[in-house]
Amino acid sequence: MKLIKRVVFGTALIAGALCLSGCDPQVYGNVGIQSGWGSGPHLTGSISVGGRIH
Amino acid sequence: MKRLGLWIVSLALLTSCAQTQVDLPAVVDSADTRLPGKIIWHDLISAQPEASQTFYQTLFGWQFEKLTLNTGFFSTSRYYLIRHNGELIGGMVDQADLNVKGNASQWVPVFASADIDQSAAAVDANGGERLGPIFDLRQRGRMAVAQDGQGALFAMLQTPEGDPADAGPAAPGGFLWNELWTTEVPAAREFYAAVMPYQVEQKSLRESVDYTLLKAQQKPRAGILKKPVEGIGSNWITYIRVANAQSLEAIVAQVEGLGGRVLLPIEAREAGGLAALIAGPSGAGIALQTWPVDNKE
Repeated sequence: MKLIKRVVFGTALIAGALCLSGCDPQVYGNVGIQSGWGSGPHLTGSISVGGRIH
Repeated sequence: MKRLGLWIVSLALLTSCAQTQVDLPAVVDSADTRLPGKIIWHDLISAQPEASQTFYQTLFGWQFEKLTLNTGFFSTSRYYLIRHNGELIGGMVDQADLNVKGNASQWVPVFASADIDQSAAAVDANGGERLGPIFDLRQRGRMAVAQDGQGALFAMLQTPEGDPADAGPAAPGGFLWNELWTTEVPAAREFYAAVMPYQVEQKSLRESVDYTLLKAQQKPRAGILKKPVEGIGSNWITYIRVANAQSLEAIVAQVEGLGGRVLLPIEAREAGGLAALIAGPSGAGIALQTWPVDNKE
């Protein structure tokens, strides 16, 4: 019982300390977004078939 | 007594952490109708927010307002509201505030959802991948970020009270259209029709090109097209309205001077009008299209 209390107490302290340095940001937060274009691709092809048609 | 004090402090920290939420302005001042499937917002994730700001300000006259959001006792992140002709049209996220590797700059379309829990579950059940939990953005609503089965990034938002009402096409410099360029059209068609209440309509622009319209509330909301270019993966492409050919030429001519790149030069479209694909300074691609198409180009 004493060990469990110590573990819970320690976890609470660590979590609290992490909070001091910032919780997970919540706008597109910790979600592992990858590059869609970022590396600057060289594109070949045509945009002629795309776009609004109505 | 000392131990009790530590317990109280720890619990207080945990409680305040749980209550630290980002509070973003609503996408619209007042609304009472839900339009699930409509793209109601766009966020630019930018690795170079200052340069992106100058780029879009100069080319399209957009105005940016920087918000500082508290994300913890001693931490903040930045979010920029984007206005066009005084109206809120989107936002910009500083990539430095995200836990990402490399350059993740891109435009993210945000789809209206009538029930974000149900929409998120539909992503899971139909081969998509949710990136993180559903975020509570308070005034803005509850949002989920996801990728479809081919990796195209999008977000879904359940607003608190309703979605922006339908109006005519945006003024020049505003968002005109959204289109998925994908490696797997049939799979993407099935996926989005399962996640959103879409009616799917196929159009043939010419014998070899099928264009899928995703319709909701009897209105075209987005398109799906087999990726017409090599060099990128499946992506949602956002189109900005340009008034005419002269304006398009003038905009494209300024792109490189502002740190961007012309990814695909101006071309005549199969369905009329002109289009081009450019990237801002951060590398995020965005398309330009003249509208309406019956202008004498």
